[in-house]
Amino acid sequence: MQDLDIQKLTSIVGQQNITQNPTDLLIYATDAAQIKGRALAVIWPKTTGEITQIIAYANKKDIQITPRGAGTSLTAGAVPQNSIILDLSKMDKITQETSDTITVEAGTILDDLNTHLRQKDKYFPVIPSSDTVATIGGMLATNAAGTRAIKYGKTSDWTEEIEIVTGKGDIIKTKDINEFASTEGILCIITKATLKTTSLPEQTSITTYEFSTAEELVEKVKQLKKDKSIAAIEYIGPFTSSMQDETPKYHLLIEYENNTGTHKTTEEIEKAWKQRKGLGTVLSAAGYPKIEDPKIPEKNIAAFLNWLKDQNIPNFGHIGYGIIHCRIKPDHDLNEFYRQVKNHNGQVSGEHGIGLTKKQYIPQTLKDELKKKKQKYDPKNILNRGKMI
Amino acid sequence: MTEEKKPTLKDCTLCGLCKSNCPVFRATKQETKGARARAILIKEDMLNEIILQCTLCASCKIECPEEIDLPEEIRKARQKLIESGKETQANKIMIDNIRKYGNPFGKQVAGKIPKELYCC
Repeated sequence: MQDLDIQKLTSIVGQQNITQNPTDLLIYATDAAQIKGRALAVIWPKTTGEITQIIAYANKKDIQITPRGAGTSLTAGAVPQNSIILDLSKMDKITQETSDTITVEAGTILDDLNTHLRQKDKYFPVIPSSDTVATIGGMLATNAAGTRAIKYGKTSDWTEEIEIVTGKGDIIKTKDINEFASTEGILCIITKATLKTTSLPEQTSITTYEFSTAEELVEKVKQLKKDKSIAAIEYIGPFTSSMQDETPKYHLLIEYENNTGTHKTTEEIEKAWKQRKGLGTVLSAAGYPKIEDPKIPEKNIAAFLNWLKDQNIPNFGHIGYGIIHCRIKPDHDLNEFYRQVKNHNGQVSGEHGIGLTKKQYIPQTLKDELKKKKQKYDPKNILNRGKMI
Repeated sequence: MTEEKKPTLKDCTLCGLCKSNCPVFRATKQETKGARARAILIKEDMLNEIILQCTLCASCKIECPEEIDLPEEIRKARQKLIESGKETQANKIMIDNIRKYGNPFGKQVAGKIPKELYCC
């Protein structure tokens, strides 16, 4: 790798949009995975044209680029590996709008987008828990889901078209979202997206249940999944419930997009969600700071939950969508954990992505498929090197 | 009765939610100017001017899922900066004015609008 020609990069983005200040590099050396890498420079591009020029320069000089949205990756997806950070936060404009779509730049924050759409009683319904900071580019790169995935699916399901710049520097507009969603910035930099929007639900309500066994819980979930008015099916495991001073049983929370549920007032609904959303603090304080997000097929969920119970691994999650969040102690052996995920025919990650921290656990077939795509779109391997494969 | 343990920056997971409504981040769209940057710098004991680029609005405290009082940590870090002689000129003038005139703007003639306003 050659030395960075900062003058050249500065001529592309302007002095105020590039830094090599050691404090800035330290701050950009990490993300929510709390793993430190090394950034050579940080650049805030403002246009797709600037990105193509930066990529052309990186190809010529064999410089690596790590794209970054909000830096909320839990798998070190935005941690630089002796690379330039390309922070897309300043590309945050709405460029076009129709009655049921909106085109935005990749750095647009989901919550800002929804604040804008709510004025027209519309919204973008895929809402991960980091929605107040998450960018649309980051959500597509990881194909983020969220608590309402059972009804609304993933980010790609609500994306009509994307504009990308590949690792070769080609600008492509495509409707083949699945080719690039979930590829965590190793093939391309997503610069723009046309998203589908929908009407806000007129009413929501919540019902909660308690079950003594995983089998009873899963049976109820199976039954509830037939009801199309349900937007979220969340559970909290017995060990986790006991840490919240609740009965040590499986607690199930159902959100309806009508008035079917037993809790109908805003206060009741907020109270129910608060318990679910406050879990992170309780579990971190109890010594379980790490979070895993395997996706388990419905038929194997009960067996997997029973294994977690035997291991005293606190868990909760989007059970309607098969995502089981497991909180892990820092010294826990993850090899055995992922052996169990595999034995239960599960996927390594349901929504957080692979990044740096989970790549050793993904199947070789997926790695081979990604390597083929990498050869096609980023043959010089300049984009997010070291991630996923 | 045992006192509940107050979360500190040791409990910070760097989730980044503190920058949701951070006005400095919102205005600059640079991670280096936002609330999480200040949390990182205090954790690393690398105090500098970024600690001073905060309005102390406490939106980070409201957003923090770990319920960490980041504004309080920033106040303590500012104190450390001042003790080590790292202070902004604007801050020095403001403190001097408060000591001399009882207000941060300096000597004022009745009805006259101050030409310069200082803030931290």
